[in-house]
Amino acid sequence: MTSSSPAKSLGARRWVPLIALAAVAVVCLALPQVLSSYWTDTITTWIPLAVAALGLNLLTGYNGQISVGHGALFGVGAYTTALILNEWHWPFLVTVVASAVVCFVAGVVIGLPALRIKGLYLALVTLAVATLFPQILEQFSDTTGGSAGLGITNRELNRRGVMTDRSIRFEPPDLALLSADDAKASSQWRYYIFLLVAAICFLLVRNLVNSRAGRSIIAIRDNETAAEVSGVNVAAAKVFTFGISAALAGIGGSLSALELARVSSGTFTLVLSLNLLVAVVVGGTPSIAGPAIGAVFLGFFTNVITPEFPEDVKPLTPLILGVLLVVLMLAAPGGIVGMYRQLQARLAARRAISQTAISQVP
Amino acid sequence: MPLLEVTDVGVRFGGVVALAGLSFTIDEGQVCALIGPNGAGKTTLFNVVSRLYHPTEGSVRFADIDLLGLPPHRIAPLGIARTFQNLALVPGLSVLDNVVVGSHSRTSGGFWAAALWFPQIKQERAVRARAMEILSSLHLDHLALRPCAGLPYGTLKRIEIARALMAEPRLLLMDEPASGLTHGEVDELGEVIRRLRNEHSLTVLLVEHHMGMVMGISDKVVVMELGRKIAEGAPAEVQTNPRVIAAYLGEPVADAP
Ligand SMILES: Nc1ncnc2c1ncn2[C@@H]1O[C@H](COP(=O)(O)OP(=O)(O)O)[C@@H](O)[C@H]1O
Ligand SMILES: [Mg+2]
Repeated sequence: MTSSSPAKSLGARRWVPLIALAAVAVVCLALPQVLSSYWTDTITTWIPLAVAALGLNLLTGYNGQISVGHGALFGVGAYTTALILNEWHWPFLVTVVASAVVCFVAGVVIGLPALRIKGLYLALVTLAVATLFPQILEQFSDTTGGSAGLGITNRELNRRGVMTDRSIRFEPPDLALLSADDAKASSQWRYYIFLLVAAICFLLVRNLVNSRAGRSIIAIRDNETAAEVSGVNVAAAKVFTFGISAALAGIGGSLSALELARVSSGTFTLVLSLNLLVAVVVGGTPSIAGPAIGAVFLGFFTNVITPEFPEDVKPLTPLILGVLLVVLMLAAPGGIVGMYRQLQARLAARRAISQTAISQVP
Repeated sequence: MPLLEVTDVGVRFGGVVALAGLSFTIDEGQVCALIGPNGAGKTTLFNVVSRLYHPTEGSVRFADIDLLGLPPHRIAPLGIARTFQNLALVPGLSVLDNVVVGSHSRTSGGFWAAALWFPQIKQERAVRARAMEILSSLHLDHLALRPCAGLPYGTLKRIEIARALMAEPRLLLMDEPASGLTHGEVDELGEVIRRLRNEHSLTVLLVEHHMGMVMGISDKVVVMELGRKIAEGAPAEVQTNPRVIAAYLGEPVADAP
C-alpha cells in the first residue's frame, strides 16, 4: 500500500509528545528528591501560578476574552480557602474544590457583562476589578485581615497539652518516597499534592479544548458568526468559559493560600494579574503546555534571577520584566510554544508529509 | 405546504432599504436560485433566515415554525445550514475541525463531559469519520489536517459547503458558492450541488451570478432588485422576462457616462 509509509511516520511522530510528557513527569517527580526544602518550597509556589495561567490561557488564548483581573479571582480563591479553613476546618482538598466553585460563580458574574463589552474595554473593566480588589479587602479588614493579613490556622493541642492556634501544615504520610526529616517530608508531600492537583487541571483543560465544546470556544474567538450559525450558543459558551477560567484561577489561589498559610491584601494586586498575563504570553497561546512553561519562566525570573540583581537595580525588576516581555513578543509572538511549533512545522515541511489525513483520524 | 415561506419581509439599515416586502416560497426538494444585481438584498435575506438580522416587518416560516421567534443558534438544529459569501471559517482550526464544527447541532456533550473526555470518544470518532467522508465527496480529504490559511478561495468555499453538510440540513443556503472558481470548476460545482441535493435529500436556496449554472440546476428562480422581487418562475420563464432583462442589461447602460 502506498499510504503505509506516511501513516507510519505520522504514528511515530505521535509518540514524540508522549515521550516528552513522560520526561517532564519524571523531572517533576524527581525535583523534590534532589532539591533542598527551600527550593522545593520555592518551586511549589510556581504551581498555583501555572494553574491560574492555565485558566487565563483558556479564556484569552482559546476564547479571545481578555482579562487583566485574574489576580483578583486568584485572591478570591485564596480568601475562600483561608476563611473556610479558619471557620470550619474542612480538609484541604475540599477547600480547593470549594474555592473553585466560588470562583466559578464569580467568573460567571464577570462573564455576563463581558458579553456586552469586548476587546480593550473588557481589558479596562477587568483592570478595574484587579485594582479595586486589594482596596475592597482592606475595606473589610475585620474579616480579611487587610494588609496585615490573615493567618490560616488550626486549633491543636501543643506539647504541653494546651489548645493553641497553629499554622496549617501538610502532614506527610509514612512513605518511603518522602524524606526521613519531618519538615522536609512535609515540603515534599505538599509539592506532590500540588503537582497532582495541577496535573488534573491541565488534563481536564486539554480534554476540554480538544472536544466539541473546545472547538466551539475556538470558533467563537475566531468567528462568532460561524459558531452561532453552526448552532453554538455563543453567550452561554462565553460565560461558561469565563466561569471555568475563574475556577482555575481560584484553584491557583487556594493552593497558594495553603502553601503560605497566610493571605493578605498585598499579595493580590494588579502586579499578580499582570504576572499571570506575562506567564500566558511568554508560554504562548493558545496552548496547554504554554501556561506551565510561562509560570516556570516567571518563577525562575522572580526567585532565581531577581535575587542576583544588585541592590540598586532591584526596584527596576518590573521594568526589566516588561522590557523582556516586549522583546519576546517581537521576537516570538507565539511565545515559547509558538517557537517550538514553528520549528516543528519547518521540520515537517522538510519531511513533506502532506498526505493521508485519514490515518490521523482516531 | 412549502418548506420555507418568506412573507412580506422588510429590512432597513438606517435610510437604506435592503429588503422591502419580499415574499416567496420554496418547496421541499427544490433547488431555488435567488438572483439579482449586487445590493439587491440577497445576502440580507440569508442573514434574516439565519437570524443574524432582524427584519422590521414580515414573517419567515420553516416547516411551519416561526423562525423570527428563535435566537440564531436555534436555527441549525431545525435543519437549516448555510455558507457565506465572504467566508466565515475559523482560522485557528484545521480544515477537518472546521468541518466538524458544523456538526455542533447534531451532537451532544457540554463542558463537563468534554473535560472528562471518555463520554465523548465514540461520538468524536463518528463525527470525524463523517467529516472525512464529506470532505472526500468534495475532493478535499487530502487537506483535512491543514490549517485553512493559505488555501485558495474556491477551496475555502467548498470547505464551507462541507461544514454546512455536517449539520445534516433539510435546507441548505449557499451564498455565491461559485465565486473564485474557474469555468471548469463552476460546471463541476453545478454537478456537485445536484448530486448533494439527491444524496442528502436537500432543499437548496442558491445565490449565484453564474447564469449558466443557475439556469442549469434550478427548479425555480427568484429575481430581486433593490430589495424587491421583480420576477419568479422556472428558469426559462425568467430568462425571457423583460423586467429581468432590463435589470441585468439596463444597469450598465444606466451607469455609463
Ligand atoms: N450590515 C449592514 N449594514 C448596513 N447596510 C447593509 C448591511 N448589510 C447589507 N446592507 C445594505 O443592504 C443592501 C443589500 O445588501 P446585500 O444583501 O449584501 O446585497 P446582495 O447580497 O444582493 O449583493 C445594500 O445596499 C447593502 O449596502
Ligand atoms: Mg451578497
